[in-house]
Amino acid sequence: MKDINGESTVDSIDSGVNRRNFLKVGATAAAATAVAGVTSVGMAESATAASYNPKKFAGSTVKILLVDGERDQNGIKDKVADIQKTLGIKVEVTALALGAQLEKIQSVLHAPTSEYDIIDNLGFTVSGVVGGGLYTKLNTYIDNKELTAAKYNYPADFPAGQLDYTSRYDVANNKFGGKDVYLIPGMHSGSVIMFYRKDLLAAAGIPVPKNWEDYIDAARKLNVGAVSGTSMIGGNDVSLILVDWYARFASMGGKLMSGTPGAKNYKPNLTGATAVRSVQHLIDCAEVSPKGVGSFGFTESVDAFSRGEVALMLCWSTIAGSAFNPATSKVASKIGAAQIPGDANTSGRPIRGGWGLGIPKNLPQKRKDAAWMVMQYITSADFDKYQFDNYQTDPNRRGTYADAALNKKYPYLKVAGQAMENAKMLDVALIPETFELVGEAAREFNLAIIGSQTAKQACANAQASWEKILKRAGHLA
Amino acid sequence: MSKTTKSESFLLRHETKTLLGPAMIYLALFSVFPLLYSLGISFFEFDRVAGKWNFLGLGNYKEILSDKVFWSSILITALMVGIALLVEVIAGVSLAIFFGQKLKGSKIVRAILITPMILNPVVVGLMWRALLNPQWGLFNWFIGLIGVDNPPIWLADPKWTLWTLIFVDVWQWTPFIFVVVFARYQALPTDVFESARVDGASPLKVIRYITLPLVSSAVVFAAIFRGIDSFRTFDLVYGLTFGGPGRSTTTLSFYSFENGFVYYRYGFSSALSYIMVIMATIGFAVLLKWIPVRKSH
Repeated sequence: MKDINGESTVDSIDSGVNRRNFLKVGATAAAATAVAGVTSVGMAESATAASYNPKKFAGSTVKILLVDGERDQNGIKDKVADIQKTLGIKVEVTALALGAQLEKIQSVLHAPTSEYDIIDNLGFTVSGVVGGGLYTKLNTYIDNKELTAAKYNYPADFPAGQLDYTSRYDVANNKFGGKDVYLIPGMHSGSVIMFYRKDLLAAAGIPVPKNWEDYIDAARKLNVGAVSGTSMIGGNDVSLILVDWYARFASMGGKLMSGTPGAKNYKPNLTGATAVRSVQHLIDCAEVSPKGVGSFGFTESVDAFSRGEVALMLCWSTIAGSAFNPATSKVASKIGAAQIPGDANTSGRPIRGGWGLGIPKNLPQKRKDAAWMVMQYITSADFDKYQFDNYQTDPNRRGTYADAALNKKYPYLKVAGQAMENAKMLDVALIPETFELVGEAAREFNLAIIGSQTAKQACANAQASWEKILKRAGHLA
Repeated sequence: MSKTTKSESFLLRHETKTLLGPAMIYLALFSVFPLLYSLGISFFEFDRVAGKWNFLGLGNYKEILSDKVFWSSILITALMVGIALLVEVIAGVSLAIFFGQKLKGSKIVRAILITPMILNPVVVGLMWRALLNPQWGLFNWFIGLIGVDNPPIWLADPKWTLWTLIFVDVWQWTPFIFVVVFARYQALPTDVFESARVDGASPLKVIRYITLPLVSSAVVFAAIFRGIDSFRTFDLVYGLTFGGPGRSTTTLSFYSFENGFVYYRYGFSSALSYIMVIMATIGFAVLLKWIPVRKSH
């Protein structure tokens, strides 16, 4: 299915992209960017096109709300002076821990006037905030040559799946995709990939695991001495579901939901064989994971991997990319990255992550206009490359994923790009209760990982919790 | 009559209103209004997509009373308050009596002892998470030195998490009981103790029959203050266990926070908070009635 811009919509995101297609698309985007003459982060140099005037809203102040702990704010802070020089706009950045940021977003979007001009929104919350009609439609800005630089290259330089997740939304029908743009993908996108120790696999004569049986076999063989075979986000943490469980479940061919919320028959499939098998796989992996994995968030898992104590690990590429940085990893030169394992008849299907930057609806027009100028800057092709090169957060643009110099420097970039093109949106992301559902499942599966209940019990309990929540919210009769 | 005299006369006639007015306005704005507002929203549910409040009547209250997690949270909160408070009172009073002996160097030790109390509970939670890390935490290393080779995974094993939470709470708040009781102990008249010694009372008898009765009002004050604080413990749970694993450390306050600020169920969260207010009011009223605060005087 194609939309007004000729881009694929949600229906085709899940169809998967092979490596050749990905490279072709990436190379085309890179070429388009090069033709556009992008040479520096500042946009002033290309201001000659049309009547675009980057300093049209000079003298304004733009306040940005981001999440903390994911290195998103670092690049902007570096470029505050350049933004002032290029756009004449003063930028102030606030970065809050995820929970606090989500709370803050709710309060500012429902206030008479928003405190922030640009807000970064987690993909899993888009249906709640954008679906609630709380953000400004950006189409008029994007189509306006006076307000948008010719080289901005939206939507061509952004992965289609990401556009239909953290950019375009059909508010009237409360559906992802469509032709209305409310967010621009940023500050980072991302999906889940597999990180492994090349040296340990080679020494043991084990190939990179291609399916989940191979994965657990390899983990058991590599679980020797001070090195654990694998690690995971095993704690009572939403990423246990989003990263480790969903990667297994979707790759094993699991279908999380049946029915639709609108028809009030939206029912989870958590008691099926695939769900139980995927939780059992987590339990098996926990046995060859570092001690205390049942309390691990992604930080603990990545830290253990970076210390050289883990052989295999799945993680958000945007989080664990730092394992390739010699300044923060003891094993930077010994690791490789690959797509997550699949099953006999299915390829690995990681979850789609990422964020989208939006301009709150409850702002005066002048503030919205100034915010758009800054938003272009921080989602520009050059800024995307700068942020990735310096802080290894997953890029938002195809041109960055396909950049030859960056790929040479960060070998996992290509893998991360393929994973993102191939990623699958979490089925329940289309209802506002996403976090509540994911939280309940995380609690039950965590208990299974630490041995307090079986995989079957955990799945049955999660199913019951989900049905209760869905019934209360009116999605299940 | 001059203008000044007139205004003075007005102030005298309305003395009570004038003096109480600012405090009443403050209370009305920052205490009564939020209380009434949150009581109001406890009868509603917020629809985030539609951006409107739906009236539920007593729906949130009914849901809470039939919610298993609510009842398990009551049990966890009761265990936490009861056990932690008991240990804190015993340890705090013992420390107060011990440091009352004016031992050499006690001033320095006292200052170190009260440090945990001045730390933010979220920071305490995060600090203990690091100390209890099963791989590189100092706590396990330390108990390894004294022969414990295979310590439990304190924050990932539901058999241990509540005890770990209570332990950290005791570590942080025993100094509070100590400070309050110690202040009272220092202010006691010395002649009573001298008379007891002259009469040949043993140190234990002095503590049992003189010290404890005389400091009991301070103990009760500190215990009630601490009990209320412990009843609404949230920040330590947030920083240390986030209510898990499972629901093993989900206290009432944390459950209210989780519903209000993670799941945006503002109405449910408000109703839960109101139930907590009612429970605390009844609980501590009964406690005050039964504890003989003034008998010692």
